[in-house]
Formats: sequence, structure tokens, C-alpha cells
Amino acid sequence: MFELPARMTQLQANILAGDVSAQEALLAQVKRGQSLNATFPCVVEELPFAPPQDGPLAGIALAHKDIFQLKDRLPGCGVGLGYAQSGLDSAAAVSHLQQAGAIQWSALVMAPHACGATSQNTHFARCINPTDEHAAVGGSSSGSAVAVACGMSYAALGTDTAGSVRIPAATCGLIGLKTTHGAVSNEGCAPLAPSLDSVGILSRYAQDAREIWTALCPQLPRHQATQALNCQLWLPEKGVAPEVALAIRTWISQLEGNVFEINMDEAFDVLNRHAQRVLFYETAQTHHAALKQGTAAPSVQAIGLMGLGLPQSWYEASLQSRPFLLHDFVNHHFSTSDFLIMPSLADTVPDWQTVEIGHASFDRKALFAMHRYMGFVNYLGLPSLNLPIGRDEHGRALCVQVLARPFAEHQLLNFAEQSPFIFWNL
Amino acid sequence: MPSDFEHHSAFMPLAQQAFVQHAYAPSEAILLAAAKNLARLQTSASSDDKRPALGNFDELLKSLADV
Repeated sequence: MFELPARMTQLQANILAGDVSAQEALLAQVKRGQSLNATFPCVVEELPFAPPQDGPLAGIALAHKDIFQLKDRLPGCGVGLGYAQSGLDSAAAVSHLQQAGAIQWSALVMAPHACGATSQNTHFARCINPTDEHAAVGGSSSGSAVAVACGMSYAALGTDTAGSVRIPAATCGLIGLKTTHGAVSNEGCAPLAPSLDSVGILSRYAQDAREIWTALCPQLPRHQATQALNCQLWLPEKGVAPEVALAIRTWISQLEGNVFEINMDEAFDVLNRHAQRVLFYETAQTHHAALKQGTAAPSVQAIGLMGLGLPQSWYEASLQSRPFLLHDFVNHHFSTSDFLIMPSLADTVPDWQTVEIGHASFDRKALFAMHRYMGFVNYLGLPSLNLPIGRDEHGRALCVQVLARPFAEHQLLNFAEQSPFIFWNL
Repeated sequence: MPSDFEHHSAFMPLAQQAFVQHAYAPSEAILLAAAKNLARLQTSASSDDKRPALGNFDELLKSLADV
């Protein structure tokens, strides 16, 4: 059987060159995925095998978070298997990939209702981090991260409301792209907090993510990579582990371009408060009935009940301030700089027990460190890329988060391609 | 200076009112947690309402793009 290459772009080239047929490539990917699922269980359900389609992604078999509606199938959303329902069409994001020729062979586990910074989920087997079995897998797109990191899928879609693509990517050493709010339609995707929800991409390689992004948003022109970049760097004064800060400074010193260190501790604090107000309030709206009936998943309860206790006027004030804060933020950070670099996780990737609520080793601060720097980006609606830059003393991924102007996803991916120390190349 | 409890207590009527608006009757523990949450999420008064409107958020994102 054809041996699958490490990169999706290489497989695309093999198919184009006639080294392997699209049908053979699909079969090889599905077979490999089935085999890997025995070791790294993350598949909720295998989907009917579809014949190869034409397009740039012809012969590519992908697996995605089980939050997307598919043809005649409602998603399980991390609390069960999917549900057959005739007359449904695929979610817009999945449909874009299908139109580019890709097929989806399985739906992947996730934190219940996309509400959780880890993979904790009593409905399915525990997610195992392919980079280190003792390490936590972030959420909520936990299955997407496992599937990509173990080689089950070249790329996977996830969704990001307060870090749900970037956190799992950071724990598994992956590219994790949270896209600009609204750049990819959320139609057919189960909501958590619609003002914050964005579709995202997880992959090992930036080039593979670019192919997926191009299929999702073909109207955006590809930018040529530029050599001399201007970047801002924010390392918060408090709350970032010394090992993380040192790794970022070391990596920064090897970047080509100008890096200006800034302090945005105060602005971050304000943005973070607004982000949480919107997250809490809209989660309560989305899961209103289940919260009132007492049937909401524990993680949804934790967020949603706080939303029920939040005055509507506070929520509306946060939405009203949002355009002004975005406008000011973009002008302040991206008028003379291309990117804003900051930590993804505030600490190194923890052991999975440390962030498992209810476990004897549970440490609330460790869990907080996983999502601390995420939600404000969703409030601003900006694109953000998780980028692996090295490993910690245990060999676990160390990552940065790179923010850019709205719709600058191609520029972020260019940056990732040029950057030293991609995790999988070490 | 008010204690933490006094500080949180000040937000309990506000949280209670929000729960009532959602037709939800919280336990004492949830009400206290919600009050603490409000204390944490309080922001200073915004002067944004004096600025000219910037319109729809998604349209603003497009206008700020560099493409």
C-alpha cells in the first residue's frame, strides 16, 4: 500500500503527479486513521465512505470536531453519538472543504458542548496526548488535536469561543488557527456564544493549514511572505511561568525583523472582563432551557449559571464597547506592526490529572493558566495563531500566540512557515 | 476598606435581579458565586457612548483588514 507522506501538501503533489490515485490515498488515510484510533481514541463515529471528489483537496480524508452538522446528521457535540436527521445539509465550513474535494471520514470527540479548556468528558474515553501520554489535552477541540498530532488526519476543523482551537493545539504542539470572526460562516455549527464563536484549523504544518484555509475562504488573496517584519511582544508582568517567558525570549532573539516589547497588562484586563461577560451571558442564552431544568453539562453549568446572574445591561454595554475597543486595539498594535506575539498558555503543559476537575491532583491555577490569555482575542474578533516554538524540560510543546489584523490569516501562516523551531521539525 | 465578603455582598442584589429576569431561582451558593463574579467583571464607566458610532462589528472587522 502507498506510504502516506508526513505533509498533506506532499500527498496533494503525489496525487497530482499520478504517484497515487485519489481513491488509493483516501483508503490509505482512513485505514491509518482506524488503526491509530485504537491507540489514541478520539473518533465519535465513522462516516459513510464518500467517493473522491475533484478539486485541490481531492484525495484528502479529514476528520473534524463533532460540532458540525453533516448531510442527514446532527452532531453529538461531545455528549453522545450523532443523530440521523434527514434533510440536513453539511455545515458551511465542511461544505467548503467538500467543494474543494476533501472528504470527512469521521467526527471527533470534544468537550461537552464546546465548553471546557480541557478534554475532560465522561461520555467518551480519555483523550491521550500523542506527544506525551501524561500530558493534558486541551479543549474543547480535543479530538481534533489528538487526531492531527497522532497522524490520523492531516488537519482538522475545530471551533474557538475562548481558546478552544488554540489551547488543544498548544498542548499537542500543533498549528492552531483561530480565524477572524465571521470570516467562515458558523452556519450548521452548534453555537456556544455566537458573538465569540469562530471556526478554526488544527494541523502539524503551516502549509497544510494554508490549504485548508484557502478552501474555507477562497476569496482572500494569498499574500507574499515578507522578510522584514515588525512585531510587538507582550509578556505579561505577572502570571507567566519563567520557563515559558525564557523560551519565548530565546525564540524571539532568532526572529528576523524588529521586535518591540510592550506592556498591555491594563488593556488586557479590561478586554478580558468584557470577553467573559459576553461568554457567560451568551452561554446562558444558548443553554437556557437545560440550565433551568438542571440538565446542563457541568462545564456548561459553571459558565451558564454565571451568565444567568449577569445583568443584561452589562452584556449590552460590553457589546456596545466592542467596536471601539477593537478599533483602538488595531490602531494601537497593528498600525506600525504586523503581529502581536504573546504566550499561548501561561504555564507549561500540565499533567492531565492536574486539570481534571474532581481529581485529587486538581489544581485550579493550572487550569486557569491554560485559558487565561485566550478569550479577549475572541472578544476582539481577531485572527490568532498558536505556534509551537520549542519543548519544555519534559519534551512537551512550548507555544506562542500570534495576533494580527482582521483577515490576516495568510500573513499569519506565512509567519509560521518562516519561523524557526516548529515543534514537529525538532 | 470593605472586606471581600462585604465587597461581594454589594453585588448580590444585582445578581439576584438578573436571576429573576431569567426566571431562575439560584441557591445561596450560586447567588454568592454570581455576586463574586460580578465584582470581578466590573469595569469603570465607559466614555464610548460619546464617540461616533462605528457601526456593525463584522463590517468594522472588514474595514480594518489590510487586503
